[in-house]
Amino acid sequence: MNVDARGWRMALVPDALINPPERARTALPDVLGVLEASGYGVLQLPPKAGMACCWR
Amino acid sequence: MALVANCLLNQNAKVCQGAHYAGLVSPVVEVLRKRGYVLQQLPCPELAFAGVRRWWAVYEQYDTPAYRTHCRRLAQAIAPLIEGYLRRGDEVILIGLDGSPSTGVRFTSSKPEWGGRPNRPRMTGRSSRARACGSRNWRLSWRAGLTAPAGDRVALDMGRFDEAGSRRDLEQFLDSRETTEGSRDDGPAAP
Repeated sequence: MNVDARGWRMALVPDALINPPERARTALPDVLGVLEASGYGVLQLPPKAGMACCWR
Repeated sequence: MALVANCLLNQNAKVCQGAHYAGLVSPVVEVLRKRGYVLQQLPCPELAFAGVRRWWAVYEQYDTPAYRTHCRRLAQAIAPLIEGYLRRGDEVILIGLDGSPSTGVRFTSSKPEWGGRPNRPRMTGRSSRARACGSRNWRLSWRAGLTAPAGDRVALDMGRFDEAGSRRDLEQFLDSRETTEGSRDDGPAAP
């Protein structure tokens, strides 16, 4: 290993922007696409219901 | 639903000198999104255990009681969410990272006698059931009656990274899933 391309940029992103509901898809920007183009890594925040226990 | 290794969405989680992309591993994300998968990023056991400035390590170095407990805790926390998807009948797949000592699906880096300077260890092919620490710990938490998700991997940690080859492998895996799902949807064959 001798290369490292990490951008040292991270974005906390709500699940709803990573996996937008079908009806909101056209209204929302392509957040992952924008972050990728800008060299950001993503830390996905838990979905609204169900996963809060994972990230304590 | 695609459960993806943490660093496939965030290369900043990689060990020092291990990041191939600035942020997202774009070929993987692109393929999964194009096929309509919902993405669920898994926690990175190594990052949470050893931090972002860690060197790379082999399976045996992480195979300690403390790390097992740590992985088990993460797995038990996320298992109920996955159980919910499985019980609902969703197709759930796991995209791990071949070569990783924690999230390998088919291969993990192994060198029992190695320690000290972080030279590149040899890669040993072993089944996920036997050796991939993260996958094994996820399996510990599957509840009775549930099947662990089918898994594929991106060979990011296998020495020479082949982006096109990894993408091709992933697409083949997803194609095979679609074929399986399709034939299941067809129902039982007529006698």
